[in-house]
Amino acid sequence: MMAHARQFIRQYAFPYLLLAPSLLAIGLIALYPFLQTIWTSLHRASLILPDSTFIGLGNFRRLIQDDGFWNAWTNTVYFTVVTVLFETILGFAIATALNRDFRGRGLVRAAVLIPWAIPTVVSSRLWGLIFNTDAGLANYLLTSTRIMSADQNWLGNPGLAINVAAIVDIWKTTPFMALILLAGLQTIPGELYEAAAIDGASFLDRLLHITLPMIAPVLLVAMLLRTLDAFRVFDVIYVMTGGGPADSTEVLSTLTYKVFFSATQFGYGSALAVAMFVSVLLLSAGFLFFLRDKLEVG
Amino acid sequence: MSNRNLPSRSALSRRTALKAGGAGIASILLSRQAPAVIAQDQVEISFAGIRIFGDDPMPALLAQFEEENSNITVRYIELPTPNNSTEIHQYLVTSLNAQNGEPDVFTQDIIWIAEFGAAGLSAPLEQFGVGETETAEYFPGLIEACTYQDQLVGWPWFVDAGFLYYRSDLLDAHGLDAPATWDDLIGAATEVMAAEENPELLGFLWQARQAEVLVCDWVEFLGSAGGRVLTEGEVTVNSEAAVSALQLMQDLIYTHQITPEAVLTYDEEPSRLPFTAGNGVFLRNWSYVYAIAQNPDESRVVDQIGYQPLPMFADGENAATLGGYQFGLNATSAHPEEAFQLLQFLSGPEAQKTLALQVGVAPTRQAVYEDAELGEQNPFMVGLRDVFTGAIPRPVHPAYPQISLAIQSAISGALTNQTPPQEALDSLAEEITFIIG
Repeated sequence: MMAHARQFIRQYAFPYLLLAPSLLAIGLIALYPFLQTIWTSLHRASLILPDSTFIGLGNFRRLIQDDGFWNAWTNTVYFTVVTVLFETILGFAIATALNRDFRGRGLVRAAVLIPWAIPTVVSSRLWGLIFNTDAGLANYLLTSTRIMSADQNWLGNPGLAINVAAIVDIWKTTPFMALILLAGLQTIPGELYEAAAIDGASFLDRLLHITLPMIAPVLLVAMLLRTLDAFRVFDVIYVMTGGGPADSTEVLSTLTYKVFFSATQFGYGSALAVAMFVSVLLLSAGFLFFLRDKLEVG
Repeated sequence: MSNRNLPSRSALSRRTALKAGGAGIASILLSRQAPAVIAQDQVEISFAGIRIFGDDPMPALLAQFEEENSNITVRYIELPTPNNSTEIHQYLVTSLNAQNGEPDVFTQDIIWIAEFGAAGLSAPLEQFGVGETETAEYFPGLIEACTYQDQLVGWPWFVDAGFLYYRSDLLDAHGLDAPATWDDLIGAATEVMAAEENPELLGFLWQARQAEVLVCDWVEFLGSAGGRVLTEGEVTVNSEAAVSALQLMQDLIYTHQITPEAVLTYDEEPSRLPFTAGNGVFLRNWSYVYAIAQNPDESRVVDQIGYQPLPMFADGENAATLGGYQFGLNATSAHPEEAFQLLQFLSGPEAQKTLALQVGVAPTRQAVYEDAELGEQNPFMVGLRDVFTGAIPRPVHPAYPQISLAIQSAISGALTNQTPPQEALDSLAEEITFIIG
């Protein structure tokens, strides 16, 4: 009897016992703040109110009608699509180049990583100077080579500012994409290309029928990670424009930060955070759905 | 540092969570501090003060205070410089909201006093016996800013205000007077820009980055037309005066073209740089610019600048936005009497004079301006007395931070030609009404 019980504990309870510390840590670090945010989002709570009142979905009703929220949401989606698209294309091109044999390849591979290694706050400041209207390098180069006839007000023009921020993010994150795709490329067996060469397949054929299908799982995972990251962009925008001009670079993270910490509207700020979470969740669900397919086929 | 996790981390900062966390931190601190609380009523209080530009004068002042009050030890928590006001605000919200008595005394931007007062985070100071005799020593505008619902929830420290710097050499060379009205300024800037052979020369520099400073500039343009954001609790931000003020700001950029479009990205320092490099005729800024402009290492316009109140509309008045950091006393301080002693000392005539002489922050006590030594060493500051006396506070309301974000967004929208002034101000008025309603 005792032996049975011991056997039972060893077989079924013991693994959970081992897992308990990690589960506890995850619960404290991830789950508690998350549930707390959701709970707060159901309240009217702010620093200047003595007590918080439960208002159900009141904050979310306000959010649906809030132009500021939808503006930030649209900007965030735009920023995410543009940056992930260019990061993928450029990252793939760089990975393909680095996959070839040439002298100093190791050095180049390391050098490519530099933008990724610089803290974003620092690189955003640098790019802020480059895109400075009066003294910036961008205006100097583009006007002195006569590509542009007059200085551009990069960060002061509502049509340009978000694109400048996107350029900085693309510059910073392409290396990450390149590195992951390079790892993917290196898993493709050389025989496939040899066979293709014998069959007389063109470059395009090899790209479409060998390379892309083979790295599709890696590509999709990398794009998923980048999408989640780009959707939560904060530092580039916060440092370069602070959301201006005319809210044209306000994204969900910066808006949430302003509402929560500057305006100390804890309830509504939490509702914004929850809305952002739901958006990200839907995005990743879409990706995973797509990915599951590819993974099973691959 | 990565700020990307902020929204999820923010959940931790909720009031209740903070209380729990605060209690935990408090117990850790208490156990660590235990030896510091020695016999014979020795107490330790904490002071969270902003870092002032230049050599930090606070440690010496605090040491002097400890010497004069041998039963009190002060732990100095150094906050960032005032241009990091968002971070300072976040620190104060988080630590005061933990309600564990730390920091006992803190420095706060003038615009947060009503907010912290309404939240019950700062203690009313009347309980320590201060009244009209004491407040009469300070500029009335500062006392007004430190008062929330008839209670003194802040205590004046130093004052600042926006005013106009100009290139006296350029104006003299073209036989121009310093401008009294906006029309004078536009005329003078246009004339000097046309006559000088300097393609880099900019007429009038101010700040229009979508940030707090845009609100400061807006309150000044508005005030110079005789308008206010709030008048006796009513929203007047879309008055006729307000529309002409916003129209003027737009016109300076696009019609008169004496202000570069780049001003839309400028906060204080980017607007200051062209001026001290000799490429600006007029500049709206705070008092810190003067010392830089007179320093040959950093400036090409040493002894070539003048200063005066900002111009006004023909039927308006001179206006300056009131700024500066003031003291607050934590409502949950364990040693309120000692904390108040420290606050009184740091705001006292001697400390204010020391700070004015050493690092050039302007006193809030009127009598200090009559000090002979200060008059001799820093005539510039004494000359600003009138600007400080008449300076207008930004809307005094507990929800000010929210009002400020709305103003930034609306004014930036108009200045980038996204919305016509009247329309921008009408919807701003609607939004402010919602916020304070």
